[in-house]
Amino acid sequence: MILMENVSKTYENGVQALHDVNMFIEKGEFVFLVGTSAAGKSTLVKLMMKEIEPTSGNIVINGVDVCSLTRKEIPYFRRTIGVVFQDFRLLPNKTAYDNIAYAMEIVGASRREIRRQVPNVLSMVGLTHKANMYPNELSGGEQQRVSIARAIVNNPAVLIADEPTGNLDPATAKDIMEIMETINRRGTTVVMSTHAKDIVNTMQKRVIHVEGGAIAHDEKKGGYSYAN
Amino acid sequence: MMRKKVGTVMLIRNARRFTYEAMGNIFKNGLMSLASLFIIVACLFVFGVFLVVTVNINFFGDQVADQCQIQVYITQEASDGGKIQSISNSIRAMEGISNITFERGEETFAKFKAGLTEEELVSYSGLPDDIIDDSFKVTLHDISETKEKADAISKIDGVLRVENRQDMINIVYSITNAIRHISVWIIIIFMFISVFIISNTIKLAVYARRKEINIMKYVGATDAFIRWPFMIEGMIVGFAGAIIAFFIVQSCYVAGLSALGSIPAGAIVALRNFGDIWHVILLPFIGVGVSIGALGSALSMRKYLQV
Repeated sequence: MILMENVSKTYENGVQALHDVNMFIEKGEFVFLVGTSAAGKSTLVKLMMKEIEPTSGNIVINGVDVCSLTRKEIPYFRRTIGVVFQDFRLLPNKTAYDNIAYAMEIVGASRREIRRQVPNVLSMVGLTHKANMYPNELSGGEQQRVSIARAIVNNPAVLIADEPTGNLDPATAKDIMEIMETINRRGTTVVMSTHAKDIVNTMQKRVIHVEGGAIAHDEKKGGYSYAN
Repeated sequence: MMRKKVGTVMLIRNARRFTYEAMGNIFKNGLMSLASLFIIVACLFVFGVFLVVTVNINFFGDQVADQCQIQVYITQEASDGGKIQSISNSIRAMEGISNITFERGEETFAKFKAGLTEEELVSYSGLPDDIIDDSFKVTLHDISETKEKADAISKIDGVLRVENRQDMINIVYSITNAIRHISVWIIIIFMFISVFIISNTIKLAVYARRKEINIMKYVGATDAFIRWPFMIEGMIVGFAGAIIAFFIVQSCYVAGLSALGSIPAGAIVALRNFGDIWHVILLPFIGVGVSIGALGSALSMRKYLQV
């Protein structure tokens, strides 16, 4: 569950990225965030991860008042949401397996739990045979699958994906979207920001259209409606 | 919030994982580790040189102090009248006396003659054996008190005269003192310089890995969880540096000793054998190396943990 109430964000350099945004995403939903490059999508994603603070307004995620979290509490909050980035952000000197295992080590999982769960998610994203490869030995699509596997390995309630297909070719992007949909069907809330018109149009999910720092449209089963 | 493993519990539970991680990082960031290692070795070597100098200066001072005894001659009457014990007691009762020995005038004369050649002996041949008065050899704890003690002793009843080598004592004392002070300051200055250089080197290493640290933060790692492998890495490099520097200092010292060994044996003072002082070097090396490594890592990471 994600709730944003009257959220505004003005950066230190004076740029107003968001203005009075209200948004409610229910548990188990699949939501696209669309909009032009400077529309405010990235700011929304950063706010959800508590990478930045809103200038005003409230944000509640999974029942946690994100704004009131102390610095020490942030790591524990981040473990409850999985994040996928456009540029994958895998640890370069760890194998695919170890990258995923790292997310479990952080939460204090036992070695036995790790040995059971990591192969599970690896097979879910179809990379069992590449478990021992390093990120630089994997293709972009494969790296993104590792990063998704890492994001979901601790069974987060929410998965936030910031342009996960942005660096991938259409065929690979389609595979990634299938994985995202599978994750969503298992009950995880998925919020995905994207530029990919055809993906949004094919998936027929809720689309929140951000424009000029505000929500322009919010359609239950939408398409990519704005002119690029 | 679900806060499971915190602080030391986390460290103990993850000690093996952190150490593996640290070892792995040392090899994967080979060049940086090597640079840090090199600097630690270089700094510890300089530190070691001055440590060795200081140890030897202290040793040198001790030897000189032993040689700078006060010679206390007593009157014939005191000697015959059985006052030897009471004079000895009076001197012993003073503060700062480390040792006192009694010597008959005959023994002193015999020793003196033993150091002479045949020709020189001729001119002393007619003299009676008791030409020299009986005396005490007094050693002090602190040679800087020589003048004061000598004066006090000369006032004791039965003491004929007191001899000391005040001029030599003064010179040696001021030299050893000056060197001692200088080396302490140089050690302090070098410690500062090395901490500075090392924390900068580690800063470079951490900067190179800021992306990694960032990713760890995104995945929800606590600061401590991120910091420990880096700290252990620093400690391992510091430890390795200490061991390497130790062996370099050892071989230089041993080589230096054998080079000096060819100097004529008439020299007043000797240098310490490495076997006697190795622990005075190895322990500070390990302590300093490990703490510089850990401190350097912790300090240079602070900035990148603020995400």
